[in-house]
Amino acid sequence: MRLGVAVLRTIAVWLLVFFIQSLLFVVQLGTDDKTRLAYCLIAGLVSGFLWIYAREVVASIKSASPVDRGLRYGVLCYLALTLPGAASNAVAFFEAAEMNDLQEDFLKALGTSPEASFVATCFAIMAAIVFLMLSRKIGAFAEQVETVRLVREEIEHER
Amino acid sequence: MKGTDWGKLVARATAVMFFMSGISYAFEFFKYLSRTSLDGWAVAHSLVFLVAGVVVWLAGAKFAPSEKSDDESHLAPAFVAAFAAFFFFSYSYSFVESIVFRLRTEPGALPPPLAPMLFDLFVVAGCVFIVVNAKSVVRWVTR
Repeated sequence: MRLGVAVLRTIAVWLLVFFIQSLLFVVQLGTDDKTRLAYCLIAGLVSGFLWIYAREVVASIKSASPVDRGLRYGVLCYLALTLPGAASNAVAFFEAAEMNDLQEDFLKALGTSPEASFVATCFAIMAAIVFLMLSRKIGAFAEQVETVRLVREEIEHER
Repeated sequence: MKGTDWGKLVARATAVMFFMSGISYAFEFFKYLSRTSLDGWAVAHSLVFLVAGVVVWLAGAKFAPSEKSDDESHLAPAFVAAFAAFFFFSYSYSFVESIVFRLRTEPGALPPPLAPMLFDLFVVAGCVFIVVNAKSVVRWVTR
């Protein structure tokens, strides 16, 4: 319980740092930079939520196997750290028409585009939801694989 | 899981992170090389991370505090699964992003190189393997 709360609150502090960083950018560049504004807003919200509800979130992660529990924590950490970026990508996608040539060339050199980032964001969030829904089954399957391996090892040892 | 060596487990997980960052930077180098001029920063980053990975992996076995705890041993597979789940999503995001960018590249333009995409796919498959074999992975890594 304490370990889970510590992990979630560490991520909350991490996001708070991102929040302050992007807030400074917004102040410096003005509110015209909507992608940064979206990032800043969501990072602040997720950070606050994680800090305040860390105990409740950890208590709600009841699982049948350690692998299942690990998967839920992994997905949760990923979502918490990615949601601000996802919001920023979504805004960038809907504002892509306003991008100047320099910004477009920069993204192309990086091997990406607002459209590609947006589709990847949607995919990652959907995959995370599917993973959370299936985590119990994946955990049970992992337990089964381990049991089969142990039985096999035991049989070989007896031989 | 009896007596998981947490010091070794965490040190080796850190080494894996260094390795993956090093390889990612190496691919960035090739990506830039094919587009613009030679860019030394990616090479330097890659080398630093790869060497750091080797050092942490080897030193982790020797210098990490060897605390074998039975009380928390049931958490070790959860730790490994969480680590793998995090990387699964990070790299599947990057994989999908590359595919979409590749599909939507204008005719005649230089498409992104294939190697980083294949690396992402390899990591995604590796993460699935680690989740399914979390307990065996803990045993092997802390050996």
